[in-house]
Amino acid sequence: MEIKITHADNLTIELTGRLDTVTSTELADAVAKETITEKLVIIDFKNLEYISSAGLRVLLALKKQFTAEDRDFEIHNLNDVVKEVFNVTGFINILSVK
Amino acid sequence: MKNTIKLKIITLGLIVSILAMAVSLVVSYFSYKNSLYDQFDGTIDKTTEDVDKRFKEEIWYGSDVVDEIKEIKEYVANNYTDNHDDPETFDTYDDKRHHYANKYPSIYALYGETFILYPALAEFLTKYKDIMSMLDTSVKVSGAKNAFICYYDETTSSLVQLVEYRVGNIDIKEIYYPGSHIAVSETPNQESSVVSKYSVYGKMQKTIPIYERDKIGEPEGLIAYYFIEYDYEKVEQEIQHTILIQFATLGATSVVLIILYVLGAHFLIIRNINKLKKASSDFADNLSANGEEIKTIEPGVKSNDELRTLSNTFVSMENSLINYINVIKEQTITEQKMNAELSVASKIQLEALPNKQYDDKDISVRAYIQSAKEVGGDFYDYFYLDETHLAFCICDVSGKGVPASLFMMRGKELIKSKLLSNNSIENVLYDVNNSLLNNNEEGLFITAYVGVIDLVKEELTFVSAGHERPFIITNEGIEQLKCNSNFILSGIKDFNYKSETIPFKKGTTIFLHTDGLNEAINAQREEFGYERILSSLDETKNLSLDEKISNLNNKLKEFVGDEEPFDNETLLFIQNINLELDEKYENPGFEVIEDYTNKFNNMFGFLEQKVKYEFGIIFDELLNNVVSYEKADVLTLEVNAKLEKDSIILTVSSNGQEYNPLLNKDKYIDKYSDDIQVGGFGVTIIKNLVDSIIYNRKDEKNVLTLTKKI
Repeated sequence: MEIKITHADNLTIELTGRLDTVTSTELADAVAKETITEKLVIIDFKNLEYISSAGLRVLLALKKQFTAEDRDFEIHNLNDVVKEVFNVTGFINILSVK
Repeated sequence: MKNTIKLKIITLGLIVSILAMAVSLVVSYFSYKNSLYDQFDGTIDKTTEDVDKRFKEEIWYGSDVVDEIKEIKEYVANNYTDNHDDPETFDTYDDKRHHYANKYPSIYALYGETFILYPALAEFLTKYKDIMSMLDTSVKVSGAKNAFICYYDETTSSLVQLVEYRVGNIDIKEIYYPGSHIAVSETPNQESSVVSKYSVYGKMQKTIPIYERDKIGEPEGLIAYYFIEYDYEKVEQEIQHTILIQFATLGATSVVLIILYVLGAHFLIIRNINKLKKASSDFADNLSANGEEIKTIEPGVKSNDELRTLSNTFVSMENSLINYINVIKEQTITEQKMNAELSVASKIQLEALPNKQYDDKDISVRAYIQSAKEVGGDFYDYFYLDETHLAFCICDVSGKGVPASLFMMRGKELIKSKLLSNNSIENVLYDVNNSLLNNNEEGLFITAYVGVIDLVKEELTFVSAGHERPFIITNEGIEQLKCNSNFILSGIKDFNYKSETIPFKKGTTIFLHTDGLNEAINAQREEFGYERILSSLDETKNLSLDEKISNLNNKLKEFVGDEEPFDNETLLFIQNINLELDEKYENPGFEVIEDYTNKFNNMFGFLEQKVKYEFGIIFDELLNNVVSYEKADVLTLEVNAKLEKDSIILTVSSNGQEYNPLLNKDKYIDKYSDDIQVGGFGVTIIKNLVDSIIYNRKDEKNVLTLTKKI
């Protein structure tokens, strides 16, 4: 998976490929390394193929961390497969999806 | 300078005139020279006659001259010998001349230097004025060089010089002194005579005997001889001079004639030839200038001769050329048009053929077609008769080019339409054969291999109508199909084609080709042949259909080298796809997830993207579970995905401790809270993605079987 982080008005994390068992830790590591000062982080799923439960695990961890830090993130450009996963697991209820 | 016609004419004229001149000179030299001599002899005869006549009067009739001669004779006989050294000595000849000129002025004035040489004689001669006067007269009258008088001495058989009279320059050696004895072989003629160049002196001489006369005038005794000597060299010179003038005149005439000849040749011939030359080069320039309309060029030869005829012929040749060029231009335009149409035809023809590659869940097709000409007679076709029957054919029309391609279109449409009408291949070919035989005056025919694959029974039913036998590629190996070869299509009316049926299991590939492949020849006139096909297929047995085609083509290219392809070449691979991905991993790590996912995507490439992503999630959840949680001495993970009708059946079995993930409750988050646990979403997701999921504990293995419609 390819992770591209851009600092602008908001921090944008662009993901390309699959967010699964192997790659989810890459995302966790990449975000951990980043000094985040922005209030809002945008995770762009435009080029994401699919997400598995391992990916959901990282997103939930991020959600907890951000909530604790009084920040939030939004997920943009979900494809149908990802949307379906969010729907059946209820992640659609706890993540800001645009 | 180039060898122009002008130069040739001049050279020819020169050679001819020089030859003519030379011949005329040689001829005239001899005849003219002789006539000159004759003329000269005549003159001498005439003049000597005059002298003779005068002598007869003056010498014979008791003139003083005879007395003087007698006196001289006596004087010479008494006083002169051959020894005539000068009594006085002089340093130079000039001194001597001056001396005697002063001493004997009258003699010198009259006789020149001759007598100065003989001073004694000079003195003596002054006494004999008459004889000297006569000598002087005779020389002057006859135009001779000198005259002298000798008497013949019988005792010594020689002429004894008495007096001599000379004109012109004198060579001292030529002088005979008075009293000199000149030996002669015979007595001089006692009659008056002219001795020509053959005289004893080597000169032209006139000899006149001098007689003493009696009182009535009859000759009494021969006293002496009177010689008149002509200057032969001078005569020769005169003759040469005359001839030289004639030579010069001839030469000058020749030059003038040559000039006239060249001018004539120029105006009559060369000028017209140049006109022709210019016209032809102008015309040639016209020809090579593009675009412009080509015009006839008139050489304008006006002379009424062969050149005029040539000029007229040239003009008619120009007209023929222009006509011919116009015809060729039109033909070229037509040909270009036709070529353009042919390439369109070729495109249409190729477009009439189905795609060169086709994939669905059951069938994979790869085709290659290469025409030796713009349009060819090879074709292939494949189409579904219904959901479970794929029909295909590969055919080769005899001949090439437009006729073959038109016939091919006819054959292709006939076979397809009749097969689609649900007829058996046997009936189809029976009808097609008869249809093609109608209106086939060209006598074209088709070799064809027509087959139908039954995907359910996994069988292939086919008829080979005189076509190349195909190759069958299975996991067990590659072999050329042994089958009946029926008669060609459009061969014999009402021919009954016999079909055959062979198993055609999933995973089997049939390779068909036209004879353009196996009969392709190299520079050594060898055929590519079946062995090379077989070995190429063997090299690529585990590779894709695309690689099989490119390997065959590379091998063929390598084999034929630069040889122009003679025939059309068509290759057709049809694979009954065996879509089953069976992988076994021992002590797997997370990398097996990506491995299996990629292999699956390759094999089931025809699936929708969304479905492939969903399977990606399924593999990630299931394999992650096994790799993460199951334990065994040697943990063995087996994953099998296969296509069955419209579903993919996925079986994941592993030999870890018993674990049924389906027992877990579905997990769903309503709202956010800090204590949401991260695990347990995997099974929920999978259940949602598949149509059925079953867990079995079988042979100490956890076996999950999932079915997903595609």
